[in-house]
Amino acid sequence: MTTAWNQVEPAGDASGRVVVSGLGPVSTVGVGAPAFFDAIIDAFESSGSRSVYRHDLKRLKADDYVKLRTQCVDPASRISVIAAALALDDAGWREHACDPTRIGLVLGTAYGSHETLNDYLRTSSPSPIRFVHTFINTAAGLTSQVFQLRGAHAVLCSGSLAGMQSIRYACHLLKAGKADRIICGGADSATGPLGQQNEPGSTFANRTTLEGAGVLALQQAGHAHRRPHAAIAGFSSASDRSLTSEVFGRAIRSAMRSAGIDAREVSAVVLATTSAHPVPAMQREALERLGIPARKWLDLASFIGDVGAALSGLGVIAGCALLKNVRHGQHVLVVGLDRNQCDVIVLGAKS
Amino acid sequence: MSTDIVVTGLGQRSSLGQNVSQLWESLLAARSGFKPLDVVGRFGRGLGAPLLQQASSPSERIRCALHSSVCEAIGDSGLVSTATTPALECPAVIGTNFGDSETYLEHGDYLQSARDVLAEVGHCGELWAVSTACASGVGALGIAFDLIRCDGADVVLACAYDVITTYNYGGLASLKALSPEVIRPFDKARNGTLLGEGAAALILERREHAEGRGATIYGEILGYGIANDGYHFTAPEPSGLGMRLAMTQALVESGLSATDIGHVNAHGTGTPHNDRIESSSIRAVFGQAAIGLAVTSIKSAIGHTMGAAGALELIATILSVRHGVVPPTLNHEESDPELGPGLDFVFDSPRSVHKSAAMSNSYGLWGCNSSVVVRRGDES
Repeated sequence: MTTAWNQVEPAGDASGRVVVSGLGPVSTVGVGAPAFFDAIIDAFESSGSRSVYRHDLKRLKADDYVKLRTQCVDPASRISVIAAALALDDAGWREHACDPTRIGLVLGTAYGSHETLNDYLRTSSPSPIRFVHTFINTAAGLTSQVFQLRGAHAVLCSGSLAGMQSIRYACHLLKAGKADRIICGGADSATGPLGQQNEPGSTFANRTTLEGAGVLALQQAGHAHRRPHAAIAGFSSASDRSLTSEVFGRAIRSAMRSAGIDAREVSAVVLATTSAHPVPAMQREALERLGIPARKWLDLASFIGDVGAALSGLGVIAGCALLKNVRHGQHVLVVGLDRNQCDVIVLGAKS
Repeated sequence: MSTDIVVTGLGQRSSLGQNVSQLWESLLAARSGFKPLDVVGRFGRGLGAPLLQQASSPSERIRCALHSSVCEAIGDSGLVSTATTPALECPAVIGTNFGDSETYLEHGDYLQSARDVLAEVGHCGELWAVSTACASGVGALGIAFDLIRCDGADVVLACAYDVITTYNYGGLASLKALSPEVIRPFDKARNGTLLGEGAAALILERREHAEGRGATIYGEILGYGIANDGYHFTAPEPSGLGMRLAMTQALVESGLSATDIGHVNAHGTGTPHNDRIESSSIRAVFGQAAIGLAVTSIKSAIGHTMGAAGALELIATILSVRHGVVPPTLNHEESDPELGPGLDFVFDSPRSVHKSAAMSNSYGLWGCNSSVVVRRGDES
């Protein structure tokens, strides 16, 4: 009776009925799809050796992307709003009249409003406004408020995989008819107290903790205003008491099976996994055993840093970049890891 | 394959008991879990509904409440007694508003205590967590529901928790959301909510899987709704748009009509705004069926348990349809004409209901709204 509980496969249609209509990457290597795509393709073609830190995201202003009625007091909220604006524009949803009650938002975050909470708890008298901005769902709430996104709404906070889970849950909501369009992905800012702990010996030793957002606009195929970037062709999740190459391999095999493909139809694998995990050897072993050679891998965190739940959202956007020039029928696997769990999303090229 | 999703295990820990039986008995007996708090530090002493067995730190109280609830639900479901279950491999979904603020600040991990509890009980399946403020409990239920319906899982553990801390008590006090005396949902004299704490856990299961192993079926989850006001970080949208969207989504997904719903276990915080807008939203969604519709709020007995509220109140709703009785809303003094005619608020003593379906509502800051529709387990 417990078979396959930790090897979840989609029961419904996995043929790509949910498509990626818009992209909102906010990353140190590029803001907006064109710049981010260039950085990703450059990194992939040079095996990650050429891309470097380019943008100081602290200089980005939300006001440059959307007219705000409120002040973004939290850094994660600021980049979430910017990423959502980019994704909405890329999908053409802001220029076409869309029913706001049918547009949902599912955002993943690992660190949420950590910096704001830290500041808040240092003050002697609590401010009600700052208190509300310490909530981990602040970025999602503010983004919904700014863009009047009144449909299905959730904030996932399980850690680094929250961005990837937000995409999977968005697919559930679309397939269940709870929304026609959904903004989803991950946003995190860890440049404050967490980022300062990255010295040797600290909790976050050897991690490059930065900030970023990877936000996507998803909708059912056939409803898109513009040519979609990719289709969500499948996904999987595998876990065990600890993370092993067997778990990693099982997640990838399960994902390929859910998409109905084999290793020959995989043109690239985006490893959206953080450097906190001692997994490179494990990943290498599992991928080689599956017949996916190293030239097809892109280790995203090695050049954009650990951006919490944004990493997996940016991983899916990177996957869309790598699909841009491949023929129909090819796929990209986006792999995320956190603790004892490995999640995979399969992206399919759109003809 | 059947997509009927049923509840086969319940667990809870709150001010009104250390298990589900104690909670249910206390709710029907109109007992209250409130007493002076000793955990609110620099914000002075206020009233609240803490866990019966106090532990020293918030993290310890999370562990105590969540461990107790999860163990009760798993044991109640009978899953651990089967020889084919060497570990709890099903997906687990956690709902919480405030998480574990101590470990979050120190290590950046919002869920450390919950992760520890799940590891202790042998969970090794995939982990999800949702935080939509005080709507998190129903948020967790919704994800669990879709992991079965959309991803083919047979069983999912959904749990939710929150405890009272200096941080959240002080913050909610600064918002002037707390009553200085008593919580009176839907009463003319209502003047705020009071906090409670606790945890709740539910085992959701595909019906044919549950029936195949002879499990007790407490109820069936028929549908849920989640929506955002897109309006303000504290105030609900004045027309109740988000509340109506969530209730409508849940009703539509359930396949029932408004006349099939026998009662609503309301969010019912006892704040002037919430109760007025929730009442008008229920009337708008239910139309003519709102006339005589029983509405109750168990927050008057266990307090506003924040992220745990949706899950605790869902347990009460499931037991209400199972036993045909709705627990009362306490502390009633005078009916509020502003809440309008039609709704039948269940004040002071339990009320029998004969319809087999019910709705539970949960709302939270940053415009979060959620609703779930349940039915008695034998009504499929």
